Amino acid sequence: MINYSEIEKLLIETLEKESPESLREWLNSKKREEAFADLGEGDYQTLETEFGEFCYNANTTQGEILTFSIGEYNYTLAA
Amino acid sequence: MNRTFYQTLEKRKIRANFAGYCLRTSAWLGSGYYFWSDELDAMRWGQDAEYRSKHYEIYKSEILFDDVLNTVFNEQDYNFYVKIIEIAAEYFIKKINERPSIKLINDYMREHGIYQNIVGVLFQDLPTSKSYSLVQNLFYKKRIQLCVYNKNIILSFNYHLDGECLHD
Repeated sequence: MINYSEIEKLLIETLEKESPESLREWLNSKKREEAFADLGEGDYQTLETEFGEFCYNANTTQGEILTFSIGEYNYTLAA
Repeated sequence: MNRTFYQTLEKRKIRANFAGYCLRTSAWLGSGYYFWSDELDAMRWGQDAEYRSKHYEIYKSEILFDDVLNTVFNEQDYNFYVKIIEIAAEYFIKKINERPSIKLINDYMREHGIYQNIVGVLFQDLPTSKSYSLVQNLFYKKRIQLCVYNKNIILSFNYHLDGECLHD
């Protein structure tokens, strides 16, 4: 059973606590993840394309997840 | 209540043994396991895909639907979804002067534990391709997708059929 009013209350409480800086930082972290997840969709052959080819050639099961870090950032790729 | 859904994947040498997880920005309901409600939509997606192998596969799943937010056919769920999306968007605009995407809002809800027991969202768009309408000037057919956030509700995942991508 979905409790509409409780979810709405929690959403407002959580967002009220956010400072512009904390919300911006969260948004930027998501954008970094997204930019990485989208590599290979554009016109440049990048890591996800290479990773996709590796998975394809290695018969890797689709949907398997690779997580790794570059510097302070964590990234995730789905095979 | 269980319902049947379909997922399109690239055809590879080895069949998938579980649903594919989508992380891309084009994943409009946030990161999750995406399914089509209609088998024909799953086939269209595969035909239009630019897969390396130039072939797609469709898998059929039984999904436990009880705690899915059904914004397509349940009026209360729909009104609630619109409300929380707009509440979140207004905060983003007010605090950082930026309109978020639906994906970002969904990711925010999930990462901050706001969705609680909502394990997926059923959503729709209205494609404006002639192949979706048999009448003039009206696109009446919903294209319905389910995004699953909790894989435990994917009760089965079985190969259904395969086909060829239509692009060169």
